[in-house]
Amino acid sequence: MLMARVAARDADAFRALIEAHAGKAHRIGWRMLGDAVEAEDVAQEAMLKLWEQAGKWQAGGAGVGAWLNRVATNLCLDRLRRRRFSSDQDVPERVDETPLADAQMDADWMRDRAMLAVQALPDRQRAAIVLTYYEDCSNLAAAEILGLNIKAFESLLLRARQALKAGLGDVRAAFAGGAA
Amino acid sequence: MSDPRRDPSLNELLDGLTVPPLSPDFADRVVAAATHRPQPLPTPVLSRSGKRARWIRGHRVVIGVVALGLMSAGAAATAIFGDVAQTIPVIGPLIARVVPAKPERKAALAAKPKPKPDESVGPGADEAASIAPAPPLVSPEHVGMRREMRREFVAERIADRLQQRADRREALGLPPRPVRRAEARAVLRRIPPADRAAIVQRVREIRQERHATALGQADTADLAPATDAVSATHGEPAGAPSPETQSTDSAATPREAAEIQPERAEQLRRLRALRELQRQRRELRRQRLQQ
Repeated sequence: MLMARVAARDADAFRALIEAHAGKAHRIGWRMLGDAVEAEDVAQEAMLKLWEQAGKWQAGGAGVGAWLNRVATNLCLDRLRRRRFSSDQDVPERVDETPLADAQMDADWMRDRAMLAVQALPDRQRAAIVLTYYEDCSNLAAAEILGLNIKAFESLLLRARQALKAGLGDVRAAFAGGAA
Repeated sequence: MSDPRRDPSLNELLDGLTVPPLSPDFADRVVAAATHRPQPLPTPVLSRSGKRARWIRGHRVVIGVVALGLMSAGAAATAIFGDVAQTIPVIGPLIARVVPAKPERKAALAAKPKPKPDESVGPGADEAASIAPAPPLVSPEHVGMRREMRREFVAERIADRLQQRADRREALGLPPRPVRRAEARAVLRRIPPADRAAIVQRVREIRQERHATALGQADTADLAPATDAVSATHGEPAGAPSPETQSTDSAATPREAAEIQPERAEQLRRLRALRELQRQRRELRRQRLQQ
């Protein structure tokens, strides 16, 4: 019903959709890209795509939330790919951009530590962690979003968890060294 | 977010990745951007599916039909299909009005058998068809006669060449050269084996007659290739009459005239006339070269 109104170019209906679903796209963007501005850009772009595609919307599908998960994830993967091709350097490490630990609160310290670990993952492994852990997507839904079959996605998720565990010690050591 | 398989330390790490809230005016900005966004252009329609495409297709069809018509009209005008006896449905009658029909000459020629070269001598084709084939002009007797003439001619030409050579040497003041046996054999070798024996015999006769005339005696011991050498070594006079002259003289004697057939005498007469003509030509050429 809401999508029908959006298809009729109802701004209020669109605003309602933004308030209901834009946070999800923003969260995916932030956790995938590690940048607040880019995360908002991803969320805005996803919502504008929804506005454009509202006329072709067919009810009875997976819903707006699943559709936005897919669009936001693909937008993030595109940006990460573009970032890699536009710079010959590695993905910038979050620890370089953040202020030192002595000026931050404990929450920021925890966030930076987690961000460092997540950003160290390859793009698709990071997407798998973000979708299944943070967005509570089932493995099947996440596999569909990433365009994989379920076996391949489970393998990808397993490798992502193993990489996170392996990097956990490094992150602790890095932050211990930084605090000292 | 709970997963029993997850490591608690890992769980703690990932839970720390909290997300800052969206900016308060985010919804306003997105709504403003959406409402003020220009409408996307309609999907471009391929020109092939439009009216213009139909018009272009129609043009092509018309051009193709006109080109085909012109080609077939040109082919009919140049009578390419004439022999095939094809009638072009629409253009044929139109062309028939303009171009007069050709007479059925080709068909008549095709129906008539081609006359043979011997039959074409007659005044008309019908007469030629009705006349029975003439007997061949070349009879076995005629063939034998011609062969005899050719042998006579070759033999006398050999003797004539020998005489010419002797004349040239005499004109240059050189002593008469003995005829080489190898040379004489080579000349004889070029003659077909069937004619060789007869030519040798005839040369021998000519030389015997010459000897008989010049010396008054007949010497039958020499053979043709060897006689040249023998006669040359014997010092035959360079200015002696040529064999053909001798044969002419001998043929003109009443003894030989009585011996040879009248037909043969006629052949020899023609041959002598031919040789005389050749000799005159040679003389003229020599005079021209000297000038």
